[in-house]
Amino acid sequence: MDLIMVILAGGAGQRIIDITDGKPKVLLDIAGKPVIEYVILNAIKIGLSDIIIVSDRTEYFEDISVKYGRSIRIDLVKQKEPEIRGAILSARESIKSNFFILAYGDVLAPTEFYRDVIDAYRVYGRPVMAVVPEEDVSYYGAAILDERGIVKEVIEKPKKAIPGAYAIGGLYILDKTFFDVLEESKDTGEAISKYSLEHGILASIWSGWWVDIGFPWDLLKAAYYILGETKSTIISPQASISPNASLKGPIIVEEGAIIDDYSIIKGPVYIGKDAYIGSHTLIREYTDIEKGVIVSSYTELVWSSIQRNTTIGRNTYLGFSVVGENTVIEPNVITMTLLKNTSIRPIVVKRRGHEYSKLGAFIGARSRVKVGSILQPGTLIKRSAIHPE
Amino acid sequence: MCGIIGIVQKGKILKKKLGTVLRGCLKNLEYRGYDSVGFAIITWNGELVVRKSKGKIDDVSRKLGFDDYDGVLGIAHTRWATHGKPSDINAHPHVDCKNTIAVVHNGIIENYQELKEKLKERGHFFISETDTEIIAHLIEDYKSRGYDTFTAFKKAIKELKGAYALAFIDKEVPDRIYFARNTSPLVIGLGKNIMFVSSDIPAFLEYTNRVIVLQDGEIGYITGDEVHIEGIDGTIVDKSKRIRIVDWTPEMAKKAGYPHFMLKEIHEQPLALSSTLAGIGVEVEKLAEVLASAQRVFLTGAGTSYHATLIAEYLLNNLAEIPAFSFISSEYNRYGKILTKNDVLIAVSQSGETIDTLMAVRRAKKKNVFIAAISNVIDSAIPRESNIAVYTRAGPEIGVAATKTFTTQVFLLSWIIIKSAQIKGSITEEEAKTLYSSLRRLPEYARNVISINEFLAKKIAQDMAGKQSAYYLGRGLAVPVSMEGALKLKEIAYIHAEAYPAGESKHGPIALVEPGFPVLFTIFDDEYRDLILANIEEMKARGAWIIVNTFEGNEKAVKLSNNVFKTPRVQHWVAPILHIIPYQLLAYYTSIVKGYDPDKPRNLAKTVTVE
Repeated sequence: MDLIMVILAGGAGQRIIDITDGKPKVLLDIAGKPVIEYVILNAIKIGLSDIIIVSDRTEYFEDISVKYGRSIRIDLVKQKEPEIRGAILSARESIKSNFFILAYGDVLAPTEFYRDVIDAYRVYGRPVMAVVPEEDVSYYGAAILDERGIVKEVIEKPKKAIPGAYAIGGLYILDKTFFDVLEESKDTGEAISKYSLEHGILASIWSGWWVDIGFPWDLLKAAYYILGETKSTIISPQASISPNASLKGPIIVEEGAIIDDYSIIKGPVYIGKDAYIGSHTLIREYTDIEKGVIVSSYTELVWSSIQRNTTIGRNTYLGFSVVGENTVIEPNVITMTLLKNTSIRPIVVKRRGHEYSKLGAFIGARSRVKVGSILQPGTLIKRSAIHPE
Repeated sequence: MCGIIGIVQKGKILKKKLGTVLRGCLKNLEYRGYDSVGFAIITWNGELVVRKSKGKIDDVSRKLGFDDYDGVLGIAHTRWATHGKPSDINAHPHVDCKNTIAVVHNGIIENYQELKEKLKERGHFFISETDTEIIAHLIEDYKSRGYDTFTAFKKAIKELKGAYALAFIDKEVPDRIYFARNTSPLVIGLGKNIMFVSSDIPAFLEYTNRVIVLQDGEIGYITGDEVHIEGIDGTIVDKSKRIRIVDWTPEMAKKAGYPHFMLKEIHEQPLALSSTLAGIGVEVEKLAEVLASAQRVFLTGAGTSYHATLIAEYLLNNLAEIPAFSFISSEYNRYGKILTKNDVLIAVSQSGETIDTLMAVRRAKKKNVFIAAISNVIDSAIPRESNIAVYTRAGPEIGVAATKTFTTQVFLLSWIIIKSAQIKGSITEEEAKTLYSSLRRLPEYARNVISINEFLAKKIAQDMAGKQSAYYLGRGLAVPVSMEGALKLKEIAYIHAEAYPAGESKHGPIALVEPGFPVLFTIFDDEYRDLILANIEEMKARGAWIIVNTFEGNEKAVKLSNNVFKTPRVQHWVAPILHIIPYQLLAYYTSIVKGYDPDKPRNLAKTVTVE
């Protein structure tokens, strides 16, 4: 297909910076792949042949462009000006076709999300924008629709919730005249609103799962959906699994991973390359253990995202938590996870007929949590910090 | 319930292969059934190829390689089993002993057992359990006695009893598709050097918008550039008078931009209401006059259409002060004996083909009752058999669960009844004016209701998905809205849901309520708004999960609830149209959370053409 997809991959993500450690947030790992790779894979699945990745630090994306180079043409474009506006404008020169797809690199959704938007464009031949019914649009940006389902107004950074507004889905099909409108606007929201007034952007309403990686806990949502889609257990022949370990699928174990004696793993769980899972560990559902992570003996993990090369000491309990890369969690660290009252949105789980609001800790990259620490629900440990100080 | 498509071209007209085009057309008929699929094509070399299998269109098409076949003409079929289980053998088309005739069929041949025995005695060999197969053999049998194909077909048709729409091809006459209709729907699409025959218009809308809707007893054939139709008495039908131009666009029959047709159709409601409003013409005026002078009005429909009649019944009795009685159309004997020529029957059917409603119409006609049809499909069976037909302009509805056709039906009925109330003098000119202006604002309000409630529905659906059962309660005009809400949840989310007037709780149903049991209250700005608070209290006292669907500013009810669906405050007479929308969204999102396909609920078909 001749449509080109521009993926916005810049943005350090201030709200998640302790986990990213300043790297582009689209490089955070979910089940063995950086977030942006899911967008690229979807582009391939819907039959696109050209992608432009826009970032202020293109060097981070060179490996990815080589990795997928055989399936799809990937150009890297350096972002010159800040914000989404600047990123889009940077791609201007590289777009040859009249219409193009604009995708946010930090949005995760199934392939149908992309397919629906493209179908709408193909059938109606006009600009399209994905919108998602979400409770609090102030997190995502707001889109207001008119009677005909055409976008009336887009507000990029709403101060508060707007009743009747949809969340910006992070996927558009626009034509090149949009660049002219954008040049003259102060931000993307204003530009989209103005452009829609003239061209009538069709809203494509998405009802399936959708995660915009903005906050640390969004990684937990993403793990839930991505791991939830795993249907069967896949164990690399190069992984080493003790015959005494108990694995109840679906579980993915990558090459070089070691699962030691009496470890109990209850899927869906992902265990990355060269990870080590010690004896007598209990790894429960929706746990995402990335490359090179060490989980020492007697430790229990549930519904957590452990980024690369982190070490978790023995006899620790981490639940509903996110840990950045290269972090050390010393032995006997306990996260308290049952939430009473909080302004943070918890993960709601149902067990034995009861509903619980759960939230663990968010532990920054390269930090160290000292032996015996007890972390209250919603604790945030800054990157490179030592906790407690 | 099945879907039929047939295409015949004069020379190579289609750019794509015929197999690919047939598959595309079938996709648009998938709502009519989806348990098995098949096609028969006469190739450019004059060979007859029949391929069929159990399964959904996409899977079967991949398996059988639909896209690899091309030819001058072909028929295809998507099946929803009635006689014989879904299987490769029972899938259509069915062929005769010599493999020259291939038949696709929708409906039921009542006397097929008897015909089958007779044909067996004459040496015919049957391989399937279907009633359809006998048609192929019957035509073959007449042909073997020396008749040409069309004459053999006509003779065969005379022997068939039942409701059917069918199409067949004969390898020995490789330039035409024969068809016949009796009760089950069938339409012809007329293109340039290409003709179509199908169960429904969206199937071929991409290629032509010139259509002829066939009538009962009509029989004929199409070639690439000719349509031949004969009436029941053998007279040749003048086609020029019958051609209609359809103003739907093929886009309207596609779900472009939406994950499901149902969500698309929910979102199309503001537009569907606007179009229905714009389409109000002289026949509305005429029907309003008929109603105003009627002794009694009976209303009938099935499923969602029945709920629309209940709203109309309430308006007729309470606003227009005309005695009105609703009944479910399959129960058409209910008032059969007391009908008189001074009565009016309003028959409501989205497709205009609902068999039960058609039977009710026929029953009433015997008593010389004046029949008014409300339908979404122009020239369909029920409108044709009625004295007057008024159409909703909702566009094609593909999702099996009715959404936009319900709101437009209620909209149209409300408009008509307000008009008759005005004529009868039951309401003042001033009151009528206010009501019309409320109705005119509904498209805008509907958009608002969707936007405000969609994420709420998505959120509430997370919890609803775990429930086994739910009550939908209201009083007065809110009762039918509750019934429709409950039906939506049942049909696409597979959760048992029951609706009844809220005052009934104490007389039995409340016994089932335990902590967490979902109870949804529909509350309008009417005389019941405070009365119903006690009904909420009694449910709350038993720990029920209270969801309130009410107008903005009804703080008393909101205070008692766990969750709220909000709609703008309008006069209660027109409120049903807005309050049903959150329930449609709730059912849709609950179905999504449970991992079902809301467009294809199990065991259901869009148009019910068998009794």
